[in-house]
Amino acid sequence: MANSDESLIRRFKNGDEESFKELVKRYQARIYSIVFAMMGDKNDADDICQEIFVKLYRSLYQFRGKSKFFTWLYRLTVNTCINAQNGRKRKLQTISLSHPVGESEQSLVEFIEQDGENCSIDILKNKELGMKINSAIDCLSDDLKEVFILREIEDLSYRELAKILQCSEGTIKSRLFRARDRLKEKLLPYINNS
Amino acid sequence: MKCRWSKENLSAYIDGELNIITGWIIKRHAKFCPECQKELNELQKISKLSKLLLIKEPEFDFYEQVREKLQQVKIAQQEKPEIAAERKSIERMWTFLPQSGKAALLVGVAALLFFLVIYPQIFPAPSLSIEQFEEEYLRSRETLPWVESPALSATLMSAERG
Repeated sequence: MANSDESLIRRFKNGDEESFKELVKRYQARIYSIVFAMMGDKNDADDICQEIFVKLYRSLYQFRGKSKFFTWLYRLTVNTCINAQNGRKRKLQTISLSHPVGESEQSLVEFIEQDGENCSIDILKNKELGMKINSAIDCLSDDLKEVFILREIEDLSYRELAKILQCSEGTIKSRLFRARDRLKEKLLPYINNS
Repeated sequence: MKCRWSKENLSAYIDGELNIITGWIIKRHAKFCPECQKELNELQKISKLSKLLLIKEPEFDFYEQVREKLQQVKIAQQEKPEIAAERKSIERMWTFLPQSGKAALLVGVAALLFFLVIYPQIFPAPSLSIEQFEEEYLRSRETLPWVESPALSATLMSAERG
C-alpha cells in the first residue's frame, strides 16, 4: 500500500530523509508541468522547480496539516512562479511558450530546420498546432493562465482551485470561462482543421 | 437568452462543476442547438489538446539535482552557525517575552526612531559658519583684558574691512 502524503511528512519530521525523496518523486512531474507552462522556458522551469523543492524541504517542518498537502504545495509553486516572473525578464526563445508564433512564421521555419528532414507533414502540422496552443496560453493574463494551467494539468475541482489561489469559486468559474473564451478566439481556425 | 446562459456555463459543464439539474439543462440544450453543440465541441477539443501539451516530464535525474542544491543550502547554513544561533536565541527571547514587554520594546524602538530620524528634520540644529564662529570667538576674547593678541587680530580684521 502506498504511503499517504501525511504519513510521508510525519516520517520526514521524524528525520527520515527517504520520505522526502518519495514526496519529490510523487510530485515532480506535476510541479514541473505547472512551472514549465507558467514560465515558458525549460531552463527557468528547471531552476524554479529545484527552488520549489528546496523551499519545501526547509518549510516542511512548519506544515501542520490544516490544509491538504497538495494545496499547500501548489500554493508554494504558484507563489514561486509569480515571484520569478516579477523578478526575471522572460527569455524569448525560438521554441517557447512565450514566442508569438502567430505573428511570425520565421520561428516555425527555424523549428522545422532544427527538427531534421524526417518530419512528415502530419507531425509538422501537429507541432505547429502545439506551438499555436502554447503561444495562445502564454498570451493569457497571469490570473487566467494560472487557473487554466492548474485546472488542465491537475484536474483540480473549483473548490480546490479556490483554496490554492485564495479566491472564491465564482471567481475561478469566471476566470476559466474567460481563459477558454480567449483561447477559442485565437485557436478557432486551427482546431477546426485539426 | 438560453444560448447566452448556456454558453456562459459550458466551461463549468465540461469541468463537471455544475449541479445535476443545470448540467442536464445544458446537455439537453446543446443536443438541440447546433451552435452551442459546436461551441461545446470546440471547448472540449481545446481542453483535451491543452492537457496533452501542458504535461511535461522533468529530467530523469531531477531528484539528484534537488539533492545537490539541498547540500549547497545545508553547507551555506553550516558556514554561519553563530548567526543562526543568535537568530534562534532572539526568536526564543521574543517568544517568551510577555505582551507588555513586547509593547514596551516596540514603543522604545519607535521613540528611538522618532528622535533619531524625524525629530532632527522637524527641529534642525542652527547652523554656524566658520567665519561667524571666528568673529564671535574674537569678540568674546576682546572682552578679556589680559589677552591682547586676539584683540589685536580683531582690530586688524576690522581695519582690513575698513
